[in-house]
Amino acid sequence: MKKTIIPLLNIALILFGVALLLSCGGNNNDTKTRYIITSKIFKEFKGTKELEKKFVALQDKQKYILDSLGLEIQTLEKFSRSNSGILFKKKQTYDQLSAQFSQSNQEQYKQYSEGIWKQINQYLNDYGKENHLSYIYGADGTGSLMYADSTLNVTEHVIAFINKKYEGD
Amino acid sequence: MFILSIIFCVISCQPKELNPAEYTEWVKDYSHGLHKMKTVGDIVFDLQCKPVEFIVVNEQKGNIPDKELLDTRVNELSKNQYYTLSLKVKDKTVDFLKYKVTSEKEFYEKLYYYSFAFQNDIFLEDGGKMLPCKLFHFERSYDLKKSRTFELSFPAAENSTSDKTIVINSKDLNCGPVRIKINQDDLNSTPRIKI
Repeated sequence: MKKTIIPLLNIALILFGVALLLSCGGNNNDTKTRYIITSKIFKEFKGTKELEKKFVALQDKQKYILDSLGLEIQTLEKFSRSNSGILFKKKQTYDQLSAQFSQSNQEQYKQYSEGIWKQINQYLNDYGKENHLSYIYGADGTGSLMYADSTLNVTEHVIAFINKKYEGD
Repeated sequence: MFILSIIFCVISCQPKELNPAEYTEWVKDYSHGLHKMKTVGDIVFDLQCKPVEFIVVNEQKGNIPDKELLDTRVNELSKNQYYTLSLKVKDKTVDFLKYKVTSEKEFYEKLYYYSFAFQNDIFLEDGGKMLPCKLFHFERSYDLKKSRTFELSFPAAENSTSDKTIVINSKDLNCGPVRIKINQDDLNSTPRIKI
């Protein structure tokens, strides 16, 4: 009796193994397509965080300059009886500086974020190649990707990968 | 058996010894971690970390007569750390300095930038410090090469055992700060020179 049970158990085990392998083969993980949440990738990318820090520091500096000038204008308004030439000049400088800061910030942010996207695109390219993917779709909420199985979402993997690449690995 | 395996481990962990020519090849080999390549957009960054021994071997054209000469020169050079950076366009037919250049004026501005001001946009992150590029040399290629090469040197960080990362943050390249890391483990496993 025992002699017949052992080969049967072996066959059952082999069949179970094959079934397991087949079920894994039919899994979505074999699909050469993945998707990412683009906005999250950009937000979590270390380069973006560094850029934001830089901009906050720059804007703080600019705010400090404008605030000092604003205070000067307020004091002049309080104590000078008439609309003096100095006050007019200060107000003009304030407006000019404010406009200049805002324009240069916009230009700089555009240029920096262009660079950041260049790096993200490059690292996504590397990720796709290293993981033998055919496509990586970007779900950005604009309707370019209406539905995808959440098991195909590799956003977190990609964030870890691109941040490692950014750090120089 | 246990003791034997420990001895084997200790021996295999020791950096090996190579003759000067083999040593040079070892350092240049991309698989050993001291020579790295990184592509961002259309630009290819090629960084060669140069241990001081590597510089001495090259100075002596691969012929080191005695250990004393090697040690003396190594001692002189080790106040700094040395790298060679090459920049090229992914499309090998395009000259790096002429990439996206539309006028002669722009070309000369770019040439001036890479000859001098580019130095201010390169740093070395070592031991938590951001070290400025101390020595900078833009290699003249007389347009014989499409790539451009820069010799860089940074002060040696005292007792640093951390990874070293070159940071290139150039407005002209317009790809954000580009980092290339040289792992300390790879530096530690550099072979010794057999004389």
